[in-house]
Amino acid sequence: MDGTLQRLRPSLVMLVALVGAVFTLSLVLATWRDVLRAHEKLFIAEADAVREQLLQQVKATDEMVIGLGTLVNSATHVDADQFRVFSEELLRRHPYLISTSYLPLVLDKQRSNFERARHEAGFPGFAITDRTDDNYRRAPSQAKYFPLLFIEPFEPISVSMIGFDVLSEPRLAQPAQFAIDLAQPSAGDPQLIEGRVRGYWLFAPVYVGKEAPATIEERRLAVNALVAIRIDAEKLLADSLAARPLGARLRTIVRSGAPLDLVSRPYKAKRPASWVVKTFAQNSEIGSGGQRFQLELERTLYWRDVNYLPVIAMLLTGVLTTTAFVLLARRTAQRTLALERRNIEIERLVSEKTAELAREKERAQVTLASIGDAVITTDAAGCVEYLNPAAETLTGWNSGDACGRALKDVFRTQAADESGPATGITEPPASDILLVDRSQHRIAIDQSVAPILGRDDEVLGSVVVFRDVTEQRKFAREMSHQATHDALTGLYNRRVFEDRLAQLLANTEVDGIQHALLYIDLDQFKIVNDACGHTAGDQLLRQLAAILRKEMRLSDVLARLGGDELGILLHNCQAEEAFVVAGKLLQTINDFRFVWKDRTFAIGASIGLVSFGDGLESAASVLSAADAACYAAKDKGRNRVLAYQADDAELSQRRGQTQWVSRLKRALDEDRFVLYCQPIVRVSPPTAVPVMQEILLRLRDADSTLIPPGAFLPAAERYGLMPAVDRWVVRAVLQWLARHAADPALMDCYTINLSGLSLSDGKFQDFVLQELAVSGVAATRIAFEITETAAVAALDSAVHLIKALKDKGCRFLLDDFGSGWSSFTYLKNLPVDFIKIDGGLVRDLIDDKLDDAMVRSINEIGHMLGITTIAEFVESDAVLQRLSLFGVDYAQGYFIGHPAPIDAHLQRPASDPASR
Amino acid sequence: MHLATALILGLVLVAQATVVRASPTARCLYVSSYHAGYEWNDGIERGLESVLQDRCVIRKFYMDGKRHLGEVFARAKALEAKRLVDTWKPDIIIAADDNASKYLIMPYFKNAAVPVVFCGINWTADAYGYPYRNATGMIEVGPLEPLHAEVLAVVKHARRGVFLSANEGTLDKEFSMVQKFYKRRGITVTHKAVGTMAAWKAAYTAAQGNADFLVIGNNAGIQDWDKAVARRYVYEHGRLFSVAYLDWMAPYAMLTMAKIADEQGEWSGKVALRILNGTPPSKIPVVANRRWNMFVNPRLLDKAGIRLSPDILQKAMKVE
Repeated sequence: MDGTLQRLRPSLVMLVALVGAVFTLSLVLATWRDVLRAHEKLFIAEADAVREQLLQQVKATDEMVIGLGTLVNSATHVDADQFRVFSEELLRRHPYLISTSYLPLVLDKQRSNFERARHEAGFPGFAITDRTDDNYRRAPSQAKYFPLLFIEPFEPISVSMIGFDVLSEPRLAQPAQFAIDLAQPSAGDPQLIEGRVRGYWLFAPVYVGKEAPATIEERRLAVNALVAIRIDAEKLLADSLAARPLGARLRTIVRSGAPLDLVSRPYKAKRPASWVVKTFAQNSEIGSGGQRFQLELERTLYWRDVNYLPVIAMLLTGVLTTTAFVLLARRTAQRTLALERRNIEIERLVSEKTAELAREKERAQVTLASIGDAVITTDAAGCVEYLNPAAETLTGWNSGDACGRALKDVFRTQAADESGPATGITEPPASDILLVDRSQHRIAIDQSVAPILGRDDEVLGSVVVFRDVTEQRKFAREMSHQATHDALTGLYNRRVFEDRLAQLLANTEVDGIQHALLYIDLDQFKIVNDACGHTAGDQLLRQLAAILRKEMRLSDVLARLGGDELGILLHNCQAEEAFVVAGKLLQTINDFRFVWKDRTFAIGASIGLVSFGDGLESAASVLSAADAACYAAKDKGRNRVLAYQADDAELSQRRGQTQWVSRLKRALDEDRFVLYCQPIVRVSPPTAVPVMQEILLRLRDADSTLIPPGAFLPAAERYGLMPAVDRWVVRAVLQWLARHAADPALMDCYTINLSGLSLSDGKFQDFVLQELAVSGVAATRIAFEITETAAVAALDSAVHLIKALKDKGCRFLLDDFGSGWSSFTYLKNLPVDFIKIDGGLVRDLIDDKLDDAMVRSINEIGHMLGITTIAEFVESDAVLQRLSLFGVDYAQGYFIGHPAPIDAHLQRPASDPASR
Repeated sequence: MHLATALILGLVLVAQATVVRASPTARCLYVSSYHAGYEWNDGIERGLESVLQDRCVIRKFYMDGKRHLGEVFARAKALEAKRLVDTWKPDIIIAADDNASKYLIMPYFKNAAVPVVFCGINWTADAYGYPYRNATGMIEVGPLEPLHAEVLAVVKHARRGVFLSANEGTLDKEFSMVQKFYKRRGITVTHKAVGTMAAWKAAYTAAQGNADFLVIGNNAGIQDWDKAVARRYVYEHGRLFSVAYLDWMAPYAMLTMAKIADEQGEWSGKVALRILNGTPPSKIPVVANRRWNMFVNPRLLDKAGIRLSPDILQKAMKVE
């Protein structure tokens, strides 16, 4: 293709050059013809001008001679001077005019008088003459004469003609007679005038009277004179020709016979015949009155006379035009070639791009076909152009049926909460949109609609993307439900409960409506759990929740707050009414019998009631008040309803515990707990040097006040913060031991109290082991104190933990042994190393025999089980002695040593009395 | 016959041999009958020189016949002129006015070798025997008929007229032509030839009461002529219709139709050139002048209460 184009280019240029050459040649030839035509036109124009000029001059001669005749005719006396004046003007104005003359008629009988009068007038030699070769002599007698009387110009050469009778010369007599007969000017034959110029006479008659007679005869009788002028034909012709380069021949047309040559003027530019380009000729006849002439004009055009300028101009024009067109053709060819190349390139690019677009389109279509989202595209008018398979599936329309239809017919949606017919695309929120498919089924969808914009932001159409979100919406609802409901009972969870509580409180401030809160703690739930397992406990809760839900109004909120604790918000409910409701609920709970396998359990509940109008301003304060009331009810014997009273000290204290929650959390976050320790000394054999130290805890409040554990530990126990506190203590003690590992005053063992929740915390074991590993402290230096109640409550977990940590070297103390209703059986299952005899037994053993016996028994049983015993609350030497007597192994108490900051025992000598 | 032919041929050859082509070296002798300063003479000279200037060497000879009347003086001057011709040997002689032809040409150069062109000869040259073989020229005529036709038109039933001129011989021919014209019409014209200004005034005054019209002829020859006096006198006393035929006399006449001296000179010059270029004088006929000018004196006409035809008043030049 490219080669073909390159071959075409020179061919085109050559063609243009050839056409240009032909064009130029044609142009030159045409111009040459035009030039010749112009020359011919010029000749014709000049010839016409010459002919016209000649005609005018001939007419002028007629007018001149007629004028002379008129002058003569009009004058009463023909005066030579008048004739002179008139003639001189004519002669001056017409160079071809040789002379004017006046020839009066003289009859032969008048001749002598006439001649005499002329003699007397100063012409002594005057006579009527004829002539022969310009020799004038007295004419022979004739009947009449027309002698020349006046002649102008009056020159020596012409005055010899004075007296010459024109009738004496036939060639003049004839035209004179014609003039008389025809009453008009009449020209004589050509002749040599005055022997020097070719010319002719022109006569005009003068008749008697003012008018020319009508007939020839009358004219012949009436004529009394002639006037005549002589014409220099050469000048006449020369004047007509002027400077025009024409050859001319003037012939006189006589009344009979061939024309007579009058005068001719050859074209002056005599050049060789070979130089002749063309000869132009024109013959014409002109005439006026009695004068008729044949005028032959010619012009020879020689090569050198040709006006080559137009030809050269045309040649140059042609050459330049051809050159311009050749250049243009060359440029055009080049541009065409470049354009063709460009087109080829563009076509290739277009092909590539088309293929690429096809691939992209295919890929896009495959993508659209394969993506889960449904896609519908429309044109600018909103008519469907495309549906991908997902869209076909969801809408129920196939592409063939849908394309061209209005989008609202294919993609019909409605809001999820609408029950009416679908009307089309529904405005946001799109999350609640339902698609109504072709079969009128409704499908939850998410949709997005976006315009398809062109380069100039004109809207070309729109694209609707949507997908079936039935499952997602269902899952979202479930998630939402799970987020707000208790998974076990299906009741609202604590978060929702607290939110509603806060909301009601806020509303109360605005509308003053009173509401009430019931805090329910199941009394026998722990028993069921312990007796029948957690599954039974869970079932109990589910059944009870279902029963209580039935007792609720729609506006009330029933929630599981945790464990066996339930909360109820009674909307728009006065305190008295709430108390009644709470009583009914308690009754319902009491009426409920939980049956698990073959066992039946009666369930009781402690219910704390708080009315919002009791000066409580926050949800936390309301909840803590209700909690306090609930536990107060529990403390008062369980299975009862107790209303919160702001002035009730006990309730206030309980409520104060709840307030510790936030303080403890901040203390943990701010690391404001302080380690104390209290020495434990050996009793048997007695030593003054402590062998162990019990780690105790103080809280440094925000105002740096040290708060004893009795103030915050119950709250920590109550609100589940003890695991965190336990972990803080373990980490702090191990870090302290690690820091003072090399201190010689360091005890062999430090005991750390663990709460019951930590015992049941499956991850606590790993925590301890990790901290031991991190601190590098030998596990043997650590002993954990657990209470009998805690251990029994989570016996399996406790046993598992004890065994696992004992395997690492840690030791365990069973604290407060003998204080509760635990039995010695547990000692067989709990692999503890020490038992710490409850201080309440030890403190008063001197005075109380029972306590004394119990201490002794516990000590003995412990020893029997291989367990080392420790007596706490030793506050006197008597007690210590008594313990020693019993064989108790170790003692602890104010008599031994008061609790002190942990660093203190490293600096104080063991024998220091202050330590006791 | 053969002899005559040979003689004629010889004469022609001689004549041809004497021909001198007009050239700046040709000699043209102008012989004036009068004197320089005389209007008529000056006019002839102007015409002559306008033609011959630069074509031949013009030498002038004045016979002074107006200021020196009498044949003795004239003959003496003619002889003097002849001597000049003999010594200077002009190629042609231009003889102006009657005296030159009468006292010089006719006596000494009739049919001589030297060609002669005469001019200014009043009315007829018959008295001098013209034409000669070697001479041709122009007769001086006035516009007699138109001038006097106007006299007859103005002065109805005129019976007497007076021709008043200087007492100079050449004027006789002039008077004769005038008298001849009027005589045909039964009118008597009397010639009053005067020699002085006073006589002229007297004659002029006399004519006022005795004549029907006055023809004022040439004043040349009146030695004490005073133009202003004459003009004043005419204005004071002129009541009679007066005509003149000389242009310099127009101030004293009511109507003047004047021949033109220049025409005489011009014609003489043209003929002289023709002759110098080879044309025999005999081939050129003697002719008369034909040009004239017309003057009117409105002041005089008004004073006299004479009305001329509107045609004349329109065409004529005005003088005072």
